[in-house]
Amino acid sequence: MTVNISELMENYRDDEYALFDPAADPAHIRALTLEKIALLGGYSHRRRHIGRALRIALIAAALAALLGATAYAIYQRDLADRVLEERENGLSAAYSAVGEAPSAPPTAAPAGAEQYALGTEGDQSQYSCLGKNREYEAQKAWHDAQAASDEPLDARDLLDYADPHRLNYGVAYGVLAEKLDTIAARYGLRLWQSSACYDTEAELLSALGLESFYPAAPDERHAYIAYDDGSFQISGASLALPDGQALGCNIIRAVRGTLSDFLVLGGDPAQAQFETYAAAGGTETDLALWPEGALLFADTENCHVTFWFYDGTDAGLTMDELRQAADSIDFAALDTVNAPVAAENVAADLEQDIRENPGLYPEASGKARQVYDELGDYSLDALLPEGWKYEGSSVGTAEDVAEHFERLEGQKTPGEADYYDMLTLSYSPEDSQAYATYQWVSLTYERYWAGPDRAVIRNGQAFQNRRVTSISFPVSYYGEEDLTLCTVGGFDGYCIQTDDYGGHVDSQGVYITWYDTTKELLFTLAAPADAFTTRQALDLAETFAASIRDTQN
Amino acid sequence: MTEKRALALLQADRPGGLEWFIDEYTPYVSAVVRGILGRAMPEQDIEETVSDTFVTLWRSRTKVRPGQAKGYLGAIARSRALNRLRLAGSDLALEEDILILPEEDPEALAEGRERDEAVRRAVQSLSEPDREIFVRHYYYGQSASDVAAELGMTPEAVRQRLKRGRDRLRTMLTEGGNGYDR
Repeated sequence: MTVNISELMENYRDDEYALFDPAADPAHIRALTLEKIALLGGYSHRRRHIGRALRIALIAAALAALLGATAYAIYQRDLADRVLEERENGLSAAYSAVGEAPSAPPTAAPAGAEQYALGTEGDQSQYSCLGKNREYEAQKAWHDAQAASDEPLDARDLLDYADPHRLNYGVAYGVLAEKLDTIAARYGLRLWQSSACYDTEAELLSALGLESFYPAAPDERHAYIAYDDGSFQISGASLALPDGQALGCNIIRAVRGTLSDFLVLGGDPAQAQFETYAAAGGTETDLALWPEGALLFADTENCHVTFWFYDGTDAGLTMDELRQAADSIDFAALDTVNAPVAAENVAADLEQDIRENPGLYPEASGKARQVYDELGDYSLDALLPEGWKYEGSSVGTAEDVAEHFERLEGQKTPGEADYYDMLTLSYSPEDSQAYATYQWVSLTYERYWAGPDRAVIRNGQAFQNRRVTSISFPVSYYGEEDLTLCTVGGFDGYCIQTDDYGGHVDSQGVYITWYDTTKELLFTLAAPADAFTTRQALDLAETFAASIRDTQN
Repeated sequence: MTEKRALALLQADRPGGLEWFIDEYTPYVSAVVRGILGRAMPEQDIEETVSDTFVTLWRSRTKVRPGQAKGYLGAIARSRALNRLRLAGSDLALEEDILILPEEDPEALAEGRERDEAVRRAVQSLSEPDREIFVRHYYYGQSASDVAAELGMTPEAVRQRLKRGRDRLRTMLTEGGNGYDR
């Protein structure tokens, strides 16, 4: 008999080998992914501000994927009308783009669970975790308000990154934050002001002043987030049934009096079983069981409690086992509410995160917000002066490099953009791993990250009319003798030192190139010397120079 | 940001979590997809598949375990790339993909977790670099010449080691109580 080895390995998992695609562009993939998710109903705060052009481009990509490049070209002429029609007709293009057949999204909750229905997310039902009272009504009103909102969103209306609406509800724009405030006031509820993540369940329970409230199965429980009112979510928990069976689940506690936005997803309501069950301690629970999952809801005196189980009848879970799970939960312990999260701690945590991951918080920059878009990146087009162009290329041979340089050299370069360096390459033409990136970017005197089609800048005044050229190789291209571990600007990385390419400081600027030790991603920092008007920039250069000297010694 | 924190944000559907995973793992996911689609599909299809992989991560965000995100993403990327290939009427064209086992009652062929475990043990029993070569070729779909280029070997040397891997897999599947022998 014969078997296909590649098919045998269908369920193999590899986390050992470092595959790396140097041509990959995370910024582009991020934009594409977030737009697809927005069309699927997620990240609702972003749903309304998909620009017309971007929307056309996105759905065009989906159509192209469906039709293939040749057929796609045929449709290009009347593409705009077609894709907008697709959009108006629903989300079929988006579903197709993620490789899933369009299906009628469920609109109803299973009989008996209507009071939890919130909406849909793709082909799944959303259920509120807020019971049957004013908190649920407020959450429903908030979701409906977002869906119905047709107000134009303006990037200048972006909230500060530390705004509680943004941090805790994912609301990025002031106009939506006002709606949220209005709804909270209408229902007499408060809003979360801060949240914190915890590394272990013990830390979470300690912060909340809680005893263990369920029989936890041995597992790598993880992902704990708590809010200032004592609400929390544990993702990846595992509840042990009396027979030892472990049920993977998320656990959510929403404290009464707050407009919280916890929701869970359920399968096809038509296939669900639902019942109300009095658990062993006397707490009344609502149980729902689907082929793909199960839910347990309970309203206690101070909280709404939800257990969202990852497996359902398809995995053999029965309603009786779900009742056993309900019996094993100490709802009285869960009902003890303490407010665990101090706002100042959260602010400090956030500041640290911003320092460590500036790319995730580009809006921390003093850069005028009109050039900042909602995906968190600055468009290079917005940063470049009028008449300038940006081009990024991936090439594999020296001939390709020369060709691109010649073409780029021919472009008009106004202003004082006079720095230009043609680097001598030491790579062999057959090395397909090498690639070149040409960048005209605006630079800042502090940190920035520039990739093939974006630049992220923070805490700096951007200035323009500078051109930076870098030619980049993956870490694997270099020999160990060319790599030196160093820390620059707080980042650990490999400094690249070769005779013809690497970090150096000269009369025209500071040029540093290094690779992150874990991600193997290129970091290039370059700027004209007259840009360095801050002490930090000079320190950065000195740090780099010192690391070079240390290596040489 | 640590992966654990990013996972907490992802699972709470808060901004920053999914973005972290995309920034961290796009080069890896793209390499997986490119290895399977690179010779058969245009660049746009590769990007779509990479993006679809992260959409799937978001949709199944509750089931990701700490420390397993990379393997999980790799499996999604591989599956999505293979699906796209099949939709286009192609198949993964690997060298010597067929393993001939002794003629047995098909009922004897282990399935599900038992079979997966036998394969896992067979792969883990290979020494390096044979194991990496085997995984890159048969799991990630990289051609023998691509594997050779990445590992600094000749294609012939890679093929020789692939043969050793196949022999080991055949042995593990047919001997020693791995569910295939009756």
